[in-house]
Amino acid sequence: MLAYITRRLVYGLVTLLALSIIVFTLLQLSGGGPLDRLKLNPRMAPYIQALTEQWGLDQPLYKQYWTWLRNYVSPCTSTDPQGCTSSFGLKNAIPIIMLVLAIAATAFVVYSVKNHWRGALVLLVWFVAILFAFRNMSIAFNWGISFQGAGPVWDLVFSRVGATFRLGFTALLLALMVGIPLGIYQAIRQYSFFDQLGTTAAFVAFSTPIFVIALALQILLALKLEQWTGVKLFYVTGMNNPGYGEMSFLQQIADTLQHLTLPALSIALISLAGYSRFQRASMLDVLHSDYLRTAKAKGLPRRRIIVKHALRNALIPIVTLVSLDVAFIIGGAIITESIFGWPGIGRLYIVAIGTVDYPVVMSIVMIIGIGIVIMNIVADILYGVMDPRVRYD
Amino acid sequence: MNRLWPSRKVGMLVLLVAFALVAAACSSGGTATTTTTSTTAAPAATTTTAPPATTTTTEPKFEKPYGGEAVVAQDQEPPTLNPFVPGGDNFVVSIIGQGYFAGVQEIDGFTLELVPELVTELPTVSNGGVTVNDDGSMTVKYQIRDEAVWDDGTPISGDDFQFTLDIILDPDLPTDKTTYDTIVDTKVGPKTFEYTLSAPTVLYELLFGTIIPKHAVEGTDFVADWNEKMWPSAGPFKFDEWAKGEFVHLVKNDNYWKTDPETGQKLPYLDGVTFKFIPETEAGLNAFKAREVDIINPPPATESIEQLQALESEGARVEVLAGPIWEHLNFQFGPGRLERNENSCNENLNMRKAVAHTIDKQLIVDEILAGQVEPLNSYVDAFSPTLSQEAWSQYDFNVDKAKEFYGMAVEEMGKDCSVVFSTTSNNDARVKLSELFVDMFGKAGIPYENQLEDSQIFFGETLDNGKWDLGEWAWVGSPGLSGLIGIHDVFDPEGPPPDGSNFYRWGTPDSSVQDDATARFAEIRDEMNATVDDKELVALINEAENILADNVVIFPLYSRLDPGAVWEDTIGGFKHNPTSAGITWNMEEWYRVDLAG
Repeated sequence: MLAYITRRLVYGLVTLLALSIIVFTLLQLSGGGPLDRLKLNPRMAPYIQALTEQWGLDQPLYKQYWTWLRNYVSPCTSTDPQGCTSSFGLKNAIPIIMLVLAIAATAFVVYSVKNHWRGALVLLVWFVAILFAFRNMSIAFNWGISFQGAGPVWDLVFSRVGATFRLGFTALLLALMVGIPLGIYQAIRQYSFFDQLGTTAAFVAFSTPIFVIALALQILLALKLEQWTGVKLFYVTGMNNPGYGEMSFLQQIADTLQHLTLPALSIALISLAGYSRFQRASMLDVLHSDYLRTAKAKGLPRRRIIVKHALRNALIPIVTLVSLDVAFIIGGAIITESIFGWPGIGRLYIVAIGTVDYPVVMSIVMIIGIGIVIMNIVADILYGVMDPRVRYD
Repeated sequence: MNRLWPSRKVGMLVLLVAFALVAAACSSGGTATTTTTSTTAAPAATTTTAPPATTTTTEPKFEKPYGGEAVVAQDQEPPTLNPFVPGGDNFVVSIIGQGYFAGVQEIDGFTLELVPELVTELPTVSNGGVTVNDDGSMTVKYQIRDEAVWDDGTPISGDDFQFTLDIILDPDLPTDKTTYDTIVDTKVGPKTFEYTLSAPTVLYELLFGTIIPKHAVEGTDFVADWNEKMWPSAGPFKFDEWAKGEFVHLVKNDNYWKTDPETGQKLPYLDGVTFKFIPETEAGLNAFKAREVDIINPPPATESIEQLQALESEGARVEVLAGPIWEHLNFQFGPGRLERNENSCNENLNMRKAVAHTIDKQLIVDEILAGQVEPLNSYVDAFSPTLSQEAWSQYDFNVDKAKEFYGMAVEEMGKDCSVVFSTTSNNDARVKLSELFVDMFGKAGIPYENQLEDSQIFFGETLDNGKWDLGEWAWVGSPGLSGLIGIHDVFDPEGPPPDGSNFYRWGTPDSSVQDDATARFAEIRDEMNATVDDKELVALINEAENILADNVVIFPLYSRLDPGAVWEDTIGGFKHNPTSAGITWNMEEWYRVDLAG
């Protein structure tokens, strides 16, 4: 398996390199530049020239790309002129050490724990490791400075990670908690009224653009609900109210839920539609398999058949889906974050595209790329762990 | 039989209830929408025609209450708080900065003229504040208000002005040094500051718009240290917190020196102001409807304005004003236009006049701006309406004249002249404009084609290389003579890109038009930049306006709408300012109506 993982990592690096070249080239070909907004001020020509030189925009494209790539993989040093805010020292190695330990722990769990829940244990270990790594994150890479004057790109991007994770993982949790039971129940009650209703609702949710869902939720659950009840249950925009830091713990929870519910719900509605459809199909496959027919013939109770024998196998395909969703969560929910004024990476990304802020756009695209590559590998490994029929060659 | 759910009936019941709730919500929403729509039309007309002074007539004459906060919606977030570094030119930086920045001048929201802020009066030749010296240089003197102090109590002094100048001129700092780099000498006093420019220029009017406190900033890293926090305030509020992606919060500056001219009370009234960042227009409007924000200045889409005007019956006040951004049609005179349209005849005056008579500006305003403003007959209106001669009013919408001029152009050029129109495709108003043009040019019998582009391409490669035939975009006007003088740079025959801003290439060395008019315009532009005499400047501006109109170098269309709305039953003292000062220009005078006894 080690050879498999190594091979996948090498492929992943090549993919990321290709991705960076393609995105960089597309950005250049898209026309316009970060200083175009200044061009319409008739007296800005000398200023534009000075910034062009300072940011290296007058350099050949291959040099610009090389500079970006070299910086992207270079840790910040205190003498760096690009405005890094932290240096790379022993303290900064903590996240790396933690991740290495997590990988070792994962390997241990995979090879030593011989039961069907080891996949969940692996996920848990990774989650704790990532959480711990982020809590101690003081490492910084030199991702350059934002062309729009927003400071070091590393700081800018990582200042948005918390918000994106809060929204993304809440939505994922909601979608899983509702979508999977829904899919299972639909499969068990195939062609029932509930199944038909669930199928219709899933297709409606799937085919409705997320901005329509988001705005509809704003109008229904924030505006109208307040008009009807006279109580403000949900906020239209923002992540917290000003003064959040001075609130009591309970007030903070209430404030968070009031802001988080609608954006999380709008993402979850679409995701849970997908999960329920996948889960239903997967469950139906398993329910119609021979070994379950045998189990029924042997007189096993229905609940035992479904929970112990069918569900475990039917959950396997969902792992891939969830893994990829986690990768996209890292990239942020572009439309939802914009509509709900949520301060995440997705919103930063859309602003950066609009202002032709190459360093920020490149950094976020690469984060998403890295996330997808890693989560793909994780999904493949988990798949093998959960399904003994899968072998790594 | 074993069941996964306790009861199927319960599940069904829950679903039915949920369905009923959703259905009820939908039907109720529908009713509300209908009502809203039906009330939209009437207030729209009322508000548009309402004079700006309406605010003062509705202001209470009693003592205004202190305390409370206001929330302002902003569709953009500042990349930095520092107005002197890249990104600091973003409009929202100054909108928020109205709370804590102060400088020599500000723009009055009622008169839309420059008025003194930190200084006792704005220097002019007539009041002795501006002197043209014998050696051709020009000296400007500021008398700083005695009462003006930073929020930590330190008096604002000439040293702060000198420090500001030093920062701007520091060759290692990425600051815009335009005009400041012509300052050759300074004199500093405790409450005075004097500087000498190498040559007379009216651009001095807008210098030192923001002053930096020397005692707080000296010794810091100016580029890195002031992006996410702010130096001591000279305005009514001071910086408190910036939650990235969410809001900026300002709190009251207890050392602010201004008093309310109406009541004599010390300003500001509010304890704090929050700027909430809501990038999506529709979400911003929803937040306003939900009263999560008290004040909003949405993009000027007529749909947004109509939504806001529908709230007037519930306590909102909406001001729709003609903003400083003026859209204009323009011709490319350089060789690049032939790559776009080989049958371009822009060098022919009759062709340009034919185009001018083809355009129905009233229809454009009616269709794009719902008739909320008048068509523009001169670019001068966007800067200083009192100086405008409405020079483009000579080109009325007249299909017969358009046909006649077009016939003459074809005859003179010896080819079937045509028009290819280019502008930005990601601007709804401009797309609508291009659709209207199809019909207008069709009626005039002028062959016409639309070739719209993404704004990044249009303002990039197309603009740089002059690769358009008939184009359309906007410039931004500003009060005072300096802005008006400055706009003439974009027609300067001696200023072709990339060093200059004459993107039209009218009269430039590679232009298809080089005649007496272009030569005279170049002289006028030089004279404008060499005098500070008001009368002389006005005469030059008038002459320049006539030359540009008579030669149809451009064709002004309309000023964009600039709506502002406030929940008037919550916040008093609000007056929209459609200039670069923005909606927050008088935030020190805002107060909570609901706190009034």
